[in-house]
Amino acid sequence: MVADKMDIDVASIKPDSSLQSLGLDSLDTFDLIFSAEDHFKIKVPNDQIKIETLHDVSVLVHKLTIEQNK
Amino acid sequence: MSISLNRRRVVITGLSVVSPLGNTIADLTHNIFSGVSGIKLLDAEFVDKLDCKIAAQAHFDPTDHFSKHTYGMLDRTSQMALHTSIEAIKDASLEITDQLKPRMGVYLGTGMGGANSVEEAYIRLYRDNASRLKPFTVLMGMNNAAAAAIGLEHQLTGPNLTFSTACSSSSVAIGEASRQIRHGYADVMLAGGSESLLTFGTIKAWEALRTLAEQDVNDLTSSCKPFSADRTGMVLGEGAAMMVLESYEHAIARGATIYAEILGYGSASDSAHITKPSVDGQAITIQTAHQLMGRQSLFRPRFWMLTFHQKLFSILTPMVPAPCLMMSLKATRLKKHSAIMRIT
Repeated sequence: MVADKMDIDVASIKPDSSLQSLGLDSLDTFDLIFSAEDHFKIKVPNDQIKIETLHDVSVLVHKLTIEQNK
Repeated sequence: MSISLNRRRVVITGLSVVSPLGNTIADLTHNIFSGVSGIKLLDAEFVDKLDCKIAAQAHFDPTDHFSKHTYGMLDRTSQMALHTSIEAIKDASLEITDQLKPRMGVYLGTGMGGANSVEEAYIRLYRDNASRLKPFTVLMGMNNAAAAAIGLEHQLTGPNLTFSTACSSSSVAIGEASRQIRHGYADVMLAGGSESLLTFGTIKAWEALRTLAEQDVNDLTSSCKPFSADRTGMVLGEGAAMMVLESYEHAIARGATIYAEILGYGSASDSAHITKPSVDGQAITIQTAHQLMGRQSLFRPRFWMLTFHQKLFSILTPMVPAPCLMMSLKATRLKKHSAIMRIT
């Protein structure tokens, strides 16, 4: 999802990559969250948008997917 | 009214275009003088729901010019504007140095701005019952998005404004940009306009105004015929055009090719009718532009071109030799202006 959005090679992305190092600014981060919400059928509350790395995104999505699909 | 003539000269040194008749100045010129029409059957999924099924669409694919990350944040209007800004700078062979950046600005005209993005948002909300919109919806839909994108791309920190005066938007932008240089606020300006409004809702709104042409039964490409007794209206289109304007001194100092000089520009409001221009308003704007020209003769034109707004009159008098003057007149709603250029 990030590779497609930012036009970068998937191989260059690692779990601990910071979003900033991948070229995402705050707007790109909101767009990534929007796409994740669509793809995983979740809603990310405003107070939980504190993500800095792809690992953070993964943890958040996993948590919300379980919580919101009960 | 007297106008001081103690001002800098403004010249045009770069040109670019995205249009239904080609995306280079050479293609556009060739097609215009070959009598080619850009009007075709509208290529859109909603065309069967329209009364007016014809339009002049530009052949512009953003993936040919930008990364997905770039074009994904821009409405089609901004994509075309950004592309023409890049090409105009190339055409002008202009190097944008750190020293130039604060002395270079962007003035852009657009009537409906990011119409595609706004309509897409409405479709999501009202047709698809979506509960939220894309994060970039505001940034893509706002009228000044294109000018902002151009400023960001080239890192320009001079004046950056968007003019929205319906059909005269781009011409006003060019005229006002020339004033920025003439009065010393900038040395170089990107000036022009962009419009992409061929959406279902926008075309329906124009249909409601009853200004769109009926499809010519013999040749749909000839549906826009402003001089014909059987003219029926206008045909919507899309495109973008950009000029590099700079002070004469700046252009000479860097050895730029000068295409034309902007000799005068006038702007006035006739406040007579929301769509019908008044004769007085047009006369005032032409007089204002003439006064700015000062002693430079209007009486040795190679050709004149008068383009009238919307009601589809246009006059092109025969070409005669010698220095060349072009005068364009646009009048719309409460805004009228004229600009006078000398082609070098």
